Amino acid sequence: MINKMKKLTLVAARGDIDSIANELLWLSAVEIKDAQGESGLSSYDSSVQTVEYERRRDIIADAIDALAPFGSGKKKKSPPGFSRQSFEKLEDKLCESEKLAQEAARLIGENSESRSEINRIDAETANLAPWAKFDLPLAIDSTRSTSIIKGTLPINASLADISAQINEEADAVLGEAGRDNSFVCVWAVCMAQDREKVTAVLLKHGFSKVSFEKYGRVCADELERLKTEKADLLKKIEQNTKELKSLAEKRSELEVSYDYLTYRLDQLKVKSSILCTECTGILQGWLPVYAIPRLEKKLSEYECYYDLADPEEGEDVPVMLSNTPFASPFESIIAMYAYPKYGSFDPTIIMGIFYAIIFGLIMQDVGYGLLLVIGCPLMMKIMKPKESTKKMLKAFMICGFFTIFFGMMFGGYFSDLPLQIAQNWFGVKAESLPELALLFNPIENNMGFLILALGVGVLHLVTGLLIKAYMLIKEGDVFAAIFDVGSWLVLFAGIGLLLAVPSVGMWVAIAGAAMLVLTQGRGSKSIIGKFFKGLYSLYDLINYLSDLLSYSRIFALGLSGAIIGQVMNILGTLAGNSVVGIIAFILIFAIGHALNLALSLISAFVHTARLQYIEFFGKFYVDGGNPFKPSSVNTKYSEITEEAK
Amino acid sequence: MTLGTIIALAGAAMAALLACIGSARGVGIACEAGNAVVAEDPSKAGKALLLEALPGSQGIYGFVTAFMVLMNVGVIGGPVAELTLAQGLYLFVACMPIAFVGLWSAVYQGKVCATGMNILAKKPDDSIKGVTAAALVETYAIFSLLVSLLLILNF
Repeated sequence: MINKMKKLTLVAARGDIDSIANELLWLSAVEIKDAQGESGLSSYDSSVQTVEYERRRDIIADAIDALAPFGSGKKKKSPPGFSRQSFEKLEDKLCESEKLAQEAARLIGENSESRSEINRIDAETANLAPWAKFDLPLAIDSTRSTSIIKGTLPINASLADISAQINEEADAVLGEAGRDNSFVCVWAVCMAQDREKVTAVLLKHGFSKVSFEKYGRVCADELERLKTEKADLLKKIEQNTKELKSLAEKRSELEVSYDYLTYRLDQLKVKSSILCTECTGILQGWLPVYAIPRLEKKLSEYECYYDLADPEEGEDVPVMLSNTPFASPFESIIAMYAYPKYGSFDPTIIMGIFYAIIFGLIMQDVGYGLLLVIGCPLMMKIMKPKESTKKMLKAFMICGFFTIFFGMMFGGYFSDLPLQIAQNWFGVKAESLPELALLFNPIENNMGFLILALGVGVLHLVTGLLIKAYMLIKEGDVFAAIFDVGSWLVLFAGIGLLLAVPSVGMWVAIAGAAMLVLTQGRGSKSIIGKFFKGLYSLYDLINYLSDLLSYSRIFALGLSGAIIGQVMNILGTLAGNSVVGIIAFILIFAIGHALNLALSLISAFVHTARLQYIEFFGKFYVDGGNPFKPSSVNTKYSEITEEAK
Repeated sequence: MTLGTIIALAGAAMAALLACIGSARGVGIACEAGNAVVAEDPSKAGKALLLEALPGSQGIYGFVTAFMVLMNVGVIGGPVAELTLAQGLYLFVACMPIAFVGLWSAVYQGKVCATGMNILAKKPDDSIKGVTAAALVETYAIFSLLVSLLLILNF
């Protein structure tokens, strides 16, 4: 059912309007409309404050994310609960948690700085390591009259040869300081004026010069210094991490502050929806009729004027569906398509019944049904999903019951597992096995199953047409209901009768067709136009036929699921009932049926939805409603326990 | 083994071959697009997987059809039947719908799923509408499976 909505217009003194708006927020029954600049009134401009609050909330959100890896890893118990009073008092704690967030940000910043510093030190250490045995201060390149050349040569260079070549040109001493995997670290000492010559000879052998300008001391000392620097940094990181861990213990404070800042932002959003004159504020919104007493009770505490009006023609009224506990989970399936327009028809309960039946026919397995019936509530318990997912899981649970029912009807117990075990493990002859199906075996009597699937289709389509007739009658257009729906139903009844009593059926069908030809052209002006348009409407028969044939997918999917299950059972039980055979069976059974279950679930879910959306909704559904979203206090981490009275 | 039996087995092989090739391509196309979305936001991996898995069903339909033929011929669970040429051709023809429609529909479905990834990236709450669109393509694979199954079951 689509709830009746009223449009609330509220006028109050400017001094009061803010607190009234806040009350409405806590009432969470009114969807406050965005202010429209009609009649030259301006709304409160909250953009500066909004940006500021968003900035503050972002800092806290970043800290919450950044602290997550430092938490103790324990699963949180239930979220902290607040009454309205205690929640609003969180303002006082805000300052503290912001400091905490900034501290966390500082520590994390320091840590990443230290880490990049350590990387730099590691690189330097690797650079210096081969020179460890070189016992001159690294920065010294020359004395008053000598030059010291340092650099690397390829690993296969022969120092003796190079030394001899150098000595042909100038006096110099060549020595090895150390080596790495790929190069030799060499130094050469010569007279200052020979520097160029010595370098030239060295360059011929693949020499590359290195300079250590910033290292004033001997290499070993420099390495020692880097080592202590690194140790200091590591100690600092450790200390910061310890502090971060203790901050992470207080993460829940941050989370609560996050919720509080979200609340403040929501307040600002509501505030910006208020239109102001010099002394009054005007606020507009939608609320469901059943919430009016609560609203009136709340507003009686304030001095204000308000008016509850029926929605006008053409207004975009938000849509709120309310259904029985059986049907309401299927609202999620409706929401996946689109909400119905306000004032049209909410098909949730009818669609829910058909959804569950078609889903059950496709899955048709007691084992899979049990898994759904047990698995869905279990997932709701463990995962604590959001409301929309929860609804979906509940819908699947209901579908699970139908799956069990049709499993019993068609003999699906993990497909034909009992039969295969009896046959392959205990050698029972196939002929002497009992029939598991209460109704019939769809693999053997496949035509029967196909007719059943199409029968469900006929029922589904006719229901869709009847809903259309109901909607037309409700709008007062009885003739359209008789002409557009009635004549089709007569035609269908005639075609149906053709199979049973051909002589009667033929005339009923002709009567239906005649009704169509005579009435469907009534929109045209000329007689000829009326006739041809009426005749053309018979072409729709093809559309109905293709709609109906679409339901044969129930047959194909149901059967392929049963057969894949059967394949797994045959493969699993082939090895017999020895120990090895049983181990092989357990493995093949678990993997095979998990695969089949997943595939069947996806196809049952998607194709059942398709039959609803295209074949069923196509007959009557008017979409385009926006879901009703009352302005309320939204919390992500905490719970508001007190009922907003 | 008669020529008829071999022709029937060729049909089974074609069903598995072509439908599985189609699924491999379809899933491949969807996964390529899906990985790009998951790279941006790993939390969407679950929903992406749903779209990626959809073109995989044709391969399974082909597998089921092939298996049914193998059971009918007796390669699985019994003595291999000596089929006449006509019987062999009957089973071969029965395999053709799912073999060819499976091949092409899986590729097209993969493309639809890949574009469905756009919905997942931009409007994750509406990603199920991409799944429904992909199911429209799947319809024809299901119809061809239907024909193949009816032919084999009534052999």
